[in-house]
Amino acid sequence: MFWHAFYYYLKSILRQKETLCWTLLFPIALGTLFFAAFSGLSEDESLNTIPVAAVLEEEDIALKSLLEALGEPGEEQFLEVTYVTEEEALALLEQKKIIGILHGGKPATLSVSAQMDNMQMEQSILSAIVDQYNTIYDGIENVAMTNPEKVEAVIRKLSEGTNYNEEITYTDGTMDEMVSYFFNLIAMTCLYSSMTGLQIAIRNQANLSSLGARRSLSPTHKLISIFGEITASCLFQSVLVWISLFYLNFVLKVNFGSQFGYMMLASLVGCIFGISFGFFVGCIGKMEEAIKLGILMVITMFNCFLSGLMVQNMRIQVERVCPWYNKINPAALISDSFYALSVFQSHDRYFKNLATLFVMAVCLCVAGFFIVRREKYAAL
Amino acid sequence: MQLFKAFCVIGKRRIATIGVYFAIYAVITIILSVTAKDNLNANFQSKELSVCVLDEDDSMASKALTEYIGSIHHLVTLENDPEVLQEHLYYRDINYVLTISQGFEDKLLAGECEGLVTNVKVPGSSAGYFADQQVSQYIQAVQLYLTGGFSIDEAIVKASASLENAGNVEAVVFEKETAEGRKEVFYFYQYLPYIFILLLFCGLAPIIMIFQEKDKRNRISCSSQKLWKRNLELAFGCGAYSLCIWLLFMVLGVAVYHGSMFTEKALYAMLNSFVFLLISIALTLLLSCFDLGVNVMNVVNIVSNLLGLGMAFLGGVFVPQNMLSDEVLAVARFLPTYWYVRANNMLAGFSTEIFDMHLYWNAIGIQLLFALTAFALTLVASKLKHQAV
Repeated sequence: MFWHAFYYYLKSILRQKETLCWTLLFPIALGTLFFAAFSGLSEDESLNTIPVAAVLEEEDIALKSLLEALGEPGEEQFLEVTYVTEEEALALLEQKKIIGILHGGKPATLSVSAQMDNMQMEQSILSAIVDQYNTIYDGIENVAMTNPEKVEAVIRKLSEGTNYNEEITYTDGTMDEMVSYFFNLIAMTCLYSSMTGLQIAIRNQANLSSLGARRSLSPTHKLISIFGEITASCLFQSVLVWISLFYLNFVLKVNFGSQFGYMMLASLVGCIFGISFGFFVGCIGKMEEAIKLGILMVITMFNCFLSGLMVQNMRIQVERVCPWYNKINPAALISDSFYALSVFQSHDRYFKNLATLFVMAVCLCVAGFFIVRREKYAAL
Repeated sequence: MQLFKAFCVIGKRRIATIGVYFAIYAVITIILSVTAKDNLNANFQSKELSVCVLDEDDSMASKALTEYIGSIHHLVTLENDPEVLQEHLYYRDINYVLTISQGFEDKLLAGECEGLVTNVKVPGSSAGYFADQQVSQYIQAVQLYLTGGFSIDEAIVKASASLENAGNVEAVVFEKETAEGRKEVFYFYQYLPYIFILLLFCGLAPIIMIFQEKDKRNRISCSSQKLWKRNLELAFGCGAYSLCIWLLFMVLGVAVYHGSMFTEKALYAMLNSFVFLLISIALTLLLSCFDLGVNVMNVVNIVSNLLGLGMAFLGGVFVPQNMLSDEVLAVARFLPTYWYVRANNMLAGFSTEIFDMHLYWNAIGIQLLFALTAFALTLVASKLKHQAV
């Protein structure tokens, strides 16, 4: 009877063409929108040429040389320098056409706009340039006053261009934080399979649907029929998610890493959890289907929000405030599994997340079944 | 007003579902806005990064470098585990990891300064470059004094003093009203488009769809009431529902942000949000004209998230508009969320655009046009559906 329940439930959900279409279309369409919105986004973290005005006097030769070196046109151009008067510079700053105004003199100073706090990084970089110029100038002056014979050695040392700071990396994987939005999209798609789980619970309860009333007369053990339907749903939902995953990874070429098999496994476990969760919520209480669906949706969206679907670093903020929640939030567990695959070589973290999800799914399924088993109705 | 009364009765039955949606999305809105940046500071403050320093040398020079980094950035203590550091770096919880390897001070004194320290950062990022600059600046200053004949103690003291006195930055204030109000208010308004679309689609659309069911629609058509009157009553019901949602969010805003909700620019933002509410109502009515199959609620939930998230991401609700590419912005101009966010950014000063009343009213006007277009399409779809019976 298990295979009977499995086969006919699979047939029935395949006939619900609107659900099939939207469930498949949702991650593909949203993934495409994400891909379009995020294209070129990682370039924003990168350093762009900073527009700046310079108000210099004739004696500011050293500062002018520095600005000319930093503003030399080419790939490595760091500053876009405009030499103007004080009034013209303030007008440009008010119109937000420049990030700051460099004033010559000893020491050199910088003026920035208080209204441009969204450009704080660029303002800080300009401030650091001014600091460095003033520090070197001050240093050479100090050495000239105390040990004038060392000035030449100091200047020679400064012109060597020593690289004090070497960059290394911890991973060969992607550091593109925007990929985490796609991880969360897959997590949300997996959790949306809870709607199917809810349908299974509604179909099998006599007080919630007429189909449930007819099915309760059947001699088939509830566990067998429910288990058959849950298995069919898992297969159906997983295939839909795998199609979306294939589209994102191979068509849009989102950098999920190269371990596609493991990603499929994570999606499968995610769908198993989603269906179990929907089934459990569907079994509790006598509320209408609409209310239960509402509860499912808000819990799913809230978990996806805390996992970083809308604000990218929400997960790490939750980790700071209540780290235990990230260990049980299903959306966080699914997206973290994808993160672990794309960044780390070892699969320890990945399997730990999947094991947690699977155990929670089994507990929810068992709890749901215990709620609905041997139910009797005085009246329907 | 029979249809309006029926609307209210159905709405009352669904109050629990709507209440659950409202509660969660209200919490999400507040969390989103309070995790946003603080208010405008009239004094310049250098960008403070979150930096993790791993001092393996534990010498006077390494401690001095750590202290200097700590004085200009926020030091984060993490265990020296690449996996932990990598995760914090990936999610931008820290921006930079500096490792001062063993033998730092000895190499500095010997003049072997190539690769004295190592760093891990997001490749090519401006934050990483900024931190690199400051680390190199400090080491260069210390080396300058060492080469100039000073001892390590003197070099550290003089370098620290030079760097402390080097900062000469003035913040010029162009507008007087920058001290009024809190900027989190505008972050509160920033996320409302997504919230309104979801709340109206998931709460209002199912109610309207009940009236669109074939049998019910046919029975209503038998009445003597004209089509335009019936539509007007339904529109009145939708308006009342939506107005309640909007007012509840405004009350929530006042409860959290108090007087900041009533500054001049905040009131313009309030008007902006009301105009977007009209767009959300229009889109909801348009959605309810379509036959969504047997599992209506499932499809409504999927469509609401698809449309809500899609418009929100493309329009610049979650990802700032100045970070989106020109091609994306060109497409986004055809979405109402783009104009809503652009107006909000102008009011809040989030973008490089200075506030211009002409541009603001342009954005409001374009949003109203979107709403009118959606209403017109709804009337056409409703008429076609009525004729198809």
